Amino acid sequence: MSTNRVETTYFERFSRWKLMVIILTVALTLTIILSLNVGFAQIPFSTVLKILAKRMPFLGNLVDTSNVSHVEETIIIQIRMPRILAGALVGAALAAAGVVYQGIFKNSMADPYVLGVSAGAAVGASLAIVLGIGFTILGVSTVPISAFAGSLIAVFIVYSISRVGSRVPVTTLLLSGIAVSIFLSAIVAILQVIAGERLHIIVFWLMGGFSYVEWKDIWAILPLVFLGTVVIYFYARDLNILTLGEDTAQHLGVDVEKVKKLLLVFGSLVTASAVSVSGLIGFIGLVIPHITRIMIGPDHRILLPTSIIVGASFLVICDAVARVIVSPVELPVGVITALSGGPFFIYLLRKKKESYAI
Amino acid sequence: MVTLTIDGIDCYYGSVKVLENVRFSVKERDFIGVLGPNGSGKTTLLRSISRILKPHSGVIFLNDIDIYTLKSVEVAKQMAVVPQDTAIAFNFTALDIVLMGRNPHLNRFQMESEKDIAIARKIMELTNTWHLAERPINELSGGERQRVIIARALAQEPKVLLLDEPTVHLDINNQLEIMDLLKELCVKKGLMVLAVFHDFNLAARYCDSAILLKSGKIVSAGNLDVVLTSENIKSVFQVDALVKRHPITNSLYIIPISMPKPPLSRNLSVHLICGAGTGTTLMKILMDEGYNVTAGVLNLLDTDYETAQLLKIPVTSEAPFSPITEEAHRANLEMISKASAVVLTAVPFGYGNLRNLEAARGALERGTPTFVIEEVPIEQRDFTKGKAKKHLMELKNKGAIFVRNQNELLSLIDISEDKLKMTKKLPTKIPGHLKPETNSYEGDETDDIKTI
Amino acid sequence: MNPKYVAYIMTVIAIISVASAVYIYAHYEGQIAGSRLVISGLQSDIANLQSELYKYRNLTLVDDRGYVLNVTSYPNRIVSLSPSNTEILFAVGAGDKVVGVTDYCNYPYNFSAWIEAGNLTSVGDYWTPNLEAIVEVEPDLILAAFAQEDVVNTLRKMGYKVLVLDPDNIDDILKDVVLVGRATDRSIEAAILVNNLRHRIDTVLSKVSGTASTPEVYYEVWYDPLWSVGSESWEHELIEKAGGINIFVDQSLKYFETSSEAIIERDPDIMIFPLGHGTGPPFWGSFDQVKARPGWNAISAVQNDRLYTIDADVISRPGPRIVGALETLAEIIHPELFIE
Repeated sequence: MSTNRVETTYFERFSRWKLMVIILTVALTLTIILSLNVGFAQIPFSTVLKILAKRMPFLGNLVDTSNVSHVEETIIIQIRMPRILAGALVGAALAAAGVVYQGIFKNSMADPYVLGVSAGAAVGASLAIVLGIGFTILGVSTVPISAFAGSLIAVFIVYSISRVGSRVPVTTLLLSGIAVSIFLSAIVAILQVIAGERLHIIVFWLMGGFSYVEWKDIWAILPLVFLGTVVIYFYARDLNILTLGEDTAQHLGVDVEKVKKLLLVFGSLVTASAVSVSGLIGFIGLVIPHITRIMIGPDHRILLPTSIIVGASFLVICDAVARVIVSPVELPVGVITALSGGPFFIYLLRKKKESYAI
Repeated sequence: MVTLTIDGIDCYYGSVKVLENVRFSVKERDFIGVLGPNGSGKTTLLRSISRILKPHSGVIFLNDIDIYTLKSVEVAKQMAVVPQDTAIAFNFTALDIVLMGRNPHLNRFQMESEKDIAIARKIMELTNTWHLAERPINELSGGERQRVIIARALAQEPKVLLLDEPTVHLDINNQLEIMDLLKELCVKKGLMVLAVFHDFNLAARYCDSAILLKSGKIVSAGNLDVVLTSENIKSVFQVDALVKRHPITNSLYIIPISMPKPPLSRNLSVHLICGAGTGTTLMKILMDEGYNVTAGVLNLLDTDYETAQLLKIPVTSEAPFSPITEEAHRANLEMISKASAVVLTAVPFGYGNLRNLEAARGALERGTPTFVIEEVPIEQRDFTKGKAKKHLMELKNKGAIFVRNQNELLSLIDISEDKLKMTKKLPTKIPGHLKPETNSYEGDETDDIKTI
Repeated sequence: MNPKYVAYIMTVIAIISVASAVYIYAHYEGQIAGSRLVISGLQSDIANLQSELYKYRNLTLVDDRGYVLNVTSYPNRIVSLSPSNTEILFAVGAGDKVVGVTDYCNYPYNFSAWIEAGNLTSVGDYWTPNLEAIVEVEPDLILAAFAQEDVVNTLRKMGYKVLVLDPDNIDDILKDVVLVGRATDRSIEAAILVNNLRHRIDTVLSKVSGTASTPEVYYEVWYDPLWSVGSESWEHELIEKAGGINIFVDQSLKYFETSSEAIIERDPDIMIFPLGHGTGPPFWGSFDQVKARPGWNAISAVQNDRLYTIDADVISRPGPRIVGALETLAEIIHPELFIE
């Protein structure tokens, strides 16, 4: 009889999960290293490895880097490394937020921008651009700060509109998010008209990209993204239960309002951080959670880590393609994410038509 | 001792009051049914107890603590809810869903342990869902899904179980299984069950007590005998129902009877000479059509007699299993004299009820239109060695109208009543077309009209 | 897996990553300081080896954004991030030092052929110049233009010398020429050029000052949607100096969207269209198509057939050729002054 088969399969899944996360992390690391090889400057892979090894605490002394030019080092460490890491961080953040939002709204069409984060960031960034950038506060340019502030303000507005007493009904949130986003998009349009010759800058920011990312940008968002994703992970089981419906979740002992608010706050923080660095990159928050869910199932305890790693890898790859495909000109990353992810997602959908829900 | 006390709560949806002063108390080993028509507040009651809809006034106590002051987790350890609809957005497996019921007992950083799986397994086996453990929940049928949800609720190891129409999607087999399981848990483990039912009979079979709601108020609460009465059912549901105790299951069972208003009230009466169930349908039909119906002679305990009692039809009766006495016969004739028409059904005849045939003849001799339904040939129901047949032939000769079935009878009666109305002045005269010289069955309408 | 362990592991990984990254960063910061010294040292060595044409100077350069750059020698490897900067560089005679240009640079030479031949590096387009390409050519001076703040900041942080040229009017353009001349040790050539340009400007100004009429001029930046120029653009300045008046003189923006109605209402006497260098028809099609635009036959310029074209690059780039645009405009607007 299959008496214990089900149980053993169930417990095996925990080790399967661990294995999957390890494999994916290794894959992400490889992707990052390989991505360092890609760019306008033709730098041999061995040189890339040497440059990397030099920075490692112990390997550094073993490696001979005498024939590595300063230019190559600059390119790898100052130009490519920050932008690749930023891609990984942003991809991770957007994927995590996407998983959270789809769980809370029980709706697979939800993405991290649905509560106005993107529209708010666009207003913040456009405002900073139109008012004349070139300012730096503490060494950080005003545009990302303004974008970050804009997105948080927008989410706060959406939240305040939707609040009924101490509860935040999910449908109201969605509708307010749409309304506020539409309104803010109109403001962005007006700003674009006023922008005159700066219009290009706004447009490029909106399209999203990692062209001039520096190490300081990474330090700025790393703590927030890390903290956010960790906190979100602690509530993974609650998320599972939340997808059954808020009433049911309440009956099963989940403090629905508290968990919802917490997840929304951290989801928005993480998204706002990502957007302030990269502009509006679409598709990742919406589709990566789907792709991983089709492959792995809906349990958020594995869905979250997997989506994060897959999102990071995906964006790193897309950025590599974006900066090399019509070199030296760079395509906006959002174009690549949509072009590649779209068809792949359709393929997955058709393949698993029967077992996929909603 | 676990108790749940609802202390005079009022609930509102917006400005509409949906529950008013609901007050009752439930304890261990109670199996309580919540009954009432649509919109009476049954689901609302469950929602307010399960902390979804807070009452505007009044308190709900779980073990003497206001349930709304407790944390969700605390409540979930003691109370589980099985909701009405079970759509699930993502494709978790059935086992995943049931294990979610263990959530209140796990703290944030704990994963499910072997103990949790063992509990889940035991419950899933009890609910006949273990074989579905690894199937995605959305691939299951409505009934299977419902059982999984019930299993999830039971996995919480609750002391109180609230169910909202728990057997709606289940086939009869599963219905009984689940209800038996719940009853067993209630009796043996002290589980307090509070369930909303639409199906009276199911409720009657498993509940010890019930609460009957109407428009948000409790109409009756307490033991089943007290709550489930014809009067209560009539006043709350506007339905006539027969409430009986079934001899085998020893539970109440309710048979609703539809009594539509008669289209017209005809001031005419029909007397039925029947028995052994041959007159039951006809009684109802005639009453529906608006006729006053009388019947006789019927023995007590005869099926037609029971029907007559139910429909409140005046009956000339006789002791059970006894032949018709002179007294009864005379009473019968008396009843017949007040009738506008007499119908003799295809009742089997024995020596006991042979006199009914004489009554029929009496009717004819009085001039009352007499109809004889010959659904079953007399030869097959004559247990008097031919005497009944002879009587029947006599009736025929005397002008009784023989019809083959009830439909024919009805069509004829209709026509004759119209004609009766037309000849109001002489109500006792036999209209021309009913003169006994013809043996017409179908009643050539055109001919009849001509003779008039 | 037990989330507690996950939390542990993740914390450990985080600490290691953060530590490594800090180490890398700090390590590199130290290296960059060392590199800067090395670069300056190298440059001074090269300069020493050159002929005495290259002299030591302590030069203070202030760009159009007020950024102050101190240099101790003249550049040998210059990257231009805009076509106008390229033109200025070549006009003052520093073209031989240019090692990197944008894809849009096309004057005074056909640079794409040079790029293909490998003698020159393309740094991409104007809006997002390719950092790697710039870094690879190891420039010792970079000339940027407006709307490139991001790349300018990044380059400056990496230790490169960047000047931003962003003139608002013709006078500023001339100042830029002087600045570039100073920065590349071509002050004399720059001075001569500026003198020449001023002379040509003054000639035009004096010619048109005596005219009786000031025709109303419409300049079209784009069609569908219609874009024209406001008072902060130099097209506007050129028109005014050429003796005309911009029909949208009341608009302050440099470029803005407008409508046929506005143009018809303001009824320009002259309409000027930019003609680019690409293949295929310009965005406005042909003069016949322009005249056929609905309602445009009511415009004086259309009725009097006073439609003209002008080289798109010349009129829009803030470089020396702008004066040529001025002269062309003057001829268009006041043909009576130029009858030979």
